[in-house]
Amino acid sequence: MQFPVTPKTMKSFPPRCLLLAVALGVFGCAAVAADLAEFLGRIQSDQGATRAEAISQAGPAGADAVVPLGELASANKGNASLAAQWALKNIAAYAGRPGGTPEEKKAVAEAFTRLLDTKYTKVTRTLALELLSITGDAAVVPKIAALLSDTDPDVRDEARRSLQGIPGAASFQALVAALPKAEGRLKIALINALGQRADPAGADALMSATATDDLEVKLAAIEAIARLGLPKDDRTKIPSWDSLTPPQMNRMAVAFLCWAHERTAKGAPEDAREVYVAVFDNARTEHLLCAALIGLEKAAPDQVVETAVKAFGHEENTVRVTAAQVLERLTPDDSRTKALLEAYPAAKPEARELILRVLKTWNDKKATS
Amino acid sequence: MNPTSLSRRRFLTRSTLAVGAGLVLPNIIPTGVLAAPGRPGANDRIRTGHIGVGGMGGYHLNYIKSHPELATCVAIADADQSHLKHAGEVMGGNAKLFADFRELLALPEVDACIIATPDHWHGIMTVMACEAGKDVYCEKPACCTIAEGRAMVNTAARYGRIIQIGSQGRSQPAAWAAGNYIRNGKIGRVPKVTCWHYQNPTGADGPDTDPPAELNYDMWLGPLRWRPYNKDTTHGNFRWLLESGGGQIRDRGAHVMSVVLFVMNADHYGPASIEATGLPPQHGRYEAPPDMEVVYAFKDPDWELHWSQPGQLPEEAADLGNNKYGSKYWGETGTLVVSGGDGGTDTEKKAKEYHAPINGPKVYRSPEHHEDFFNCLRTREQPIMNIRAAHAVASLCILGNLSWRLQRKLQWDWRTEKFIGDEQANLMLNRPARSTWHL
Repeated sequence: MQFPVTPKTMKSFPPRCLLLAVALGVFGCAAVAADLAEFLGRIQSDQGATRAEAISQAGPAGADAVVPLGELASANKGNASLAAQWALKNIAAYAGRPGGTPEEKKAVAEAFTRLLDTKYTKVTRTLALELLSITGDAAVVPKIAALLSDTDPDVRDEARRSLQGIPGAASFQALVAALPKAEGRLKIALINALGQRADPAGADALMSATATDDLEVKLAAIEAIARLGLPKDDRTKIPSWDSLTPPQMNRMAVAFLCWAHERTAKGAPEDAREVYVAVFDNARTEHLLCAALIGLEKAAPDQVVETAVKAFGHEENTVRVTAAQVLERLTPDDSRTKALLEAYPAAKPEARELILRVLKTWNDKKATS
Repeated sequence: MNPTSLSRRRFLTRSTLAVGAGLVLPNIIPTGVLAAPGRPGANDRIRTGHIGVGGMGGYHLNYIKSHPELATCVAIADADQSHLKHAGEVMGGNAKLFADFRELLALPEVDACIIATPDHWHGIMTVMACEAGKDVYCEKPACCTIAEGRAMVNTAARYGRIIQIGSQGRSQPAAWAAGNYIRNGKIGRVPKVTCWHYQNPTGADGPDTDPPAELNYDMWLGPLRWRPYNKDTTHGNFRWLLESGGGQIRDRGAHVMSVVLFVMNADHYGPASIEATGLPPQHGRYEAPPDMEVVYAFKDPDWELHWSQPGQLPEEAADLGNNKYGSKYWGETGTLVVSGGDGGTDTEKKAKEYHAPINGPKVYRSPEHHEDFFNCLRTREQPIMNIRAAHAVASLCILGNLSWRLQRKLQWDWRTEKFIGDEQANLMLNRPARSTWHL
């Protein structure tokens, strides 16, 4: 089934044939309406094969089909409603295809916003929000953002997810704007969203979010800030370590390590080095020690030998082996080799084994280079 | 500033980083736990925590219970109270039980997690487990999105964690034999591999209802986009909806294509294009197409991978075990069939009887999938289905579904993990998690 007149074909009419274009447009609209009715009929067919074929051809039906399909999807008509949902997904996919026009995509997205109305079922509304995340742009953001205060918490969260998925400043600012007044899970979800988007424009809002007695909100904001990898700033309020449970302490440490990783990626390894050294010197759990060693490999390769030698004396097998693996990945040089040779006499047997392993690896690297 | 001379006291007074206050990291674990045993050494038994103990999770629990030489289960978590209760009985009351897996992750006595939840939990749960210091055995497929897989790879690397994904076909003797045969050139260059698998089911026509009392549906959904409870789309039936299970291509395809990438020694790169076709189901809520064809075109070296549902059973597979699915390798000088791809993997006699030359390419031989994992927890070497390899496999499954879902051929840059010239497809490489969950 072909839809004979699409926005694209209508645009290709030469301007001087205006009357003809209008006439054709009138004819086109009638043809489209007839095609649409036929398509909707097939979507509701009691024959599964007919429905499946119609679903697969739904893409070109475009914006005009969205509202009727939304009504059908909400009509509790069993397989016909399910087919309508499928068709909506294919319309969204088609609108976003390479070579599709921005106008087509905008029209489809605008049509999806009509399905956000409460007269549609929750399934239809949340599906529309999902499809808006892959078709929407700044124009649809206000209508989605309005649902951040919907009475249904699932709809509120799906609106947040939709905004989080739409690229661009408008959706991001909508997330930021909603944060101060949001409560409960939505507040934390919005904080997480800003962290995931990793846009420095969210820094102020996130730092403000740390000024709370709600520990879960505070920790979420700190984790999100860490993802931004911004330079040092005192506006973030850190909880007292004494106020944290061990899992919360771990979350804080993970946030520090995340920040250090981001600082290294942004070309500020000195900031990262401070964190990794502090973690290594103060943490007791082996995975944090391992993370510090691994982080130092990138942030401070000249320092990591010294730290790895300390790690060889650790009681945990994982820490010792990780130290060896970190060293093995380094490019060998005389000073590094000397440091290991000097550590060898005082090392315990299991550490000596690892030192020899590293030296052998370095030797093999030199031989093949 | 000399970091080695920096004392805790000085940490409290100096200005610090973006997170604001003093960079003070006291003992991260409480005093009581300092007396607890540390991580396993060469001869220590590993303590496991199991998350998700229905279906495959029950299998893993029973496996660990019957292999005390490998590990001991000390904790179990499940969102379904009936699963949890049954698992507790299986363990004879010797494991702590949790409705919330985060409490299990907080236990210092858990060394490794066995994750056997529905697929939509694999990514976030594995990342959280790594950040909590646990090594992870996670059921296949590794992930549901490209972004999840990348986060799992990165987090494992960042914390030095060992992850084994449960595509146990690679650990089967027949998979090793096939890899050994093909990588030693016995059928020449292989420009084409075809996979066959029976159709996806259709169904779930029944109405949505309230969830049963024993199931914490909010926890079961976790990061998944909200959908109403339906008994035919929850628990084991998660497989047939694209967002949670991805159909057979992501379910058993993660097994079959894992063996393909292993045999072809192709874990380290991805396809250049993906094209999927197939009609949607004719009825019901299940979303995976009953019949499906996907063609993956790889470059440098050039070869094609064809996934076919139902596909065609090769003649050579007629006498092989578990032959309802599998892969056939079309070499320039011969062919080879590998049936199955999961725990029941078989191959032709010529491969099983082949002995490679001394100087030929060596193929890693796993002792057994769980055993391989537990060995690697001690050596800290990468297991056979490590997260990098598993991400490569899951990516094939995900990309195939994306091509089908978008109804178009997709061009893929595996180095950057981005589609070429398809902005909408790139938006679907990740999906924001529901509620307060996040990668």
